[in-house]
Amino acid sequence: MEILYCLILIPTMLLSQTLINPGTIVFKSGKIIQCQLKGFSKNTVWFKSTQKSNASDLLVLQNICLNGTGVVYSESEEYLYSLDSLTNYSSKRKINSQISDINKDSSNKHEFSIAIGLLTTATFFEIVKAIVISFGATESTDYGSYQTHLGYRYFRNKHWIYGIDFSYEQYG
Amino acid sequence: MTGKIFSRYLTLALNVSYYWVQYKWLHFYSGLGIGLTHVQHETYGIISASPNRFSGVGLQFNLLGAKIAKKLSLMTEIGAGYRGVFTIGLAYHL
Repeated sequence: MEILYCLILIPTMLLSQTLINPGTIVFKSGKIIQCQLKGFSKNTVWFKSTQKSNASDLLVLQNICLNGTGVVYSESEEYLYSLDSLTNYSSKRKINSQISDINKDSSNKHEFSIAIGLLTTATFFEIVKAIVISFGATESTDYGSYQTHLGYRYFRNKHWIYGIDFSYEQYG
Repeated sequence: MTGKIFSRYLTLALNVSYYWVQYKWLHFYSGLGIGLTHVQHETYGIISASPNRFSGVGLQFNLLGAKIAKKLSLMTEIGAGYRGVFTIGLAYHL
């Protein structure tokens, strides 16, 4: 188990993109609890843990290990901890006030979309061909086309989004 | 007499996007999609030697997308591929 002390020097934004796996928080008292990254907002990183700790321990939450694997998870017994820039423990009151920020975060969310193509690729190339080759767009005026698509997106984190497209195009 | 070709393209694809900017409600992104496209041609007045139905790889290069990101978002994209060149649409974020 490797404790990454140097993490406190890494900007929170960079860290927030790295801590996507379950891990372990090491306290000053020596106690180690397993945790799960709950989310991040602004300069605060949030963890969910199944074990409660006291305030004096929480002052040294900056010692974080990323190598933990098994997460003890229980819906009925969970506690939220936050790290402001990985140095200061936020009060319970602040945690409550920022839970809404977590919910607004784009991580791990789903999105459904519907769209219309204003210009299909086939028509676009027909127009280009008409302009370049025959110096007139008369050829392309014979064509009518439209394109539409349905999409689903899964927000893996703040930047990378995965999805499925279903597209229909009619041309001619 | 002028012949005509009527075509349909059906595509099912996987898509990945990278959000360059997420400034409050204004987001910018780019992406790539790859999947399977089924093509169906109908010809009128001409005889074509190519098959009327076939399937192949469908691609989409999304050069730039912009989104006004709310619960119900408005988006527009510029690119090329199975989603066309210019696209405008709505997205609902759960």
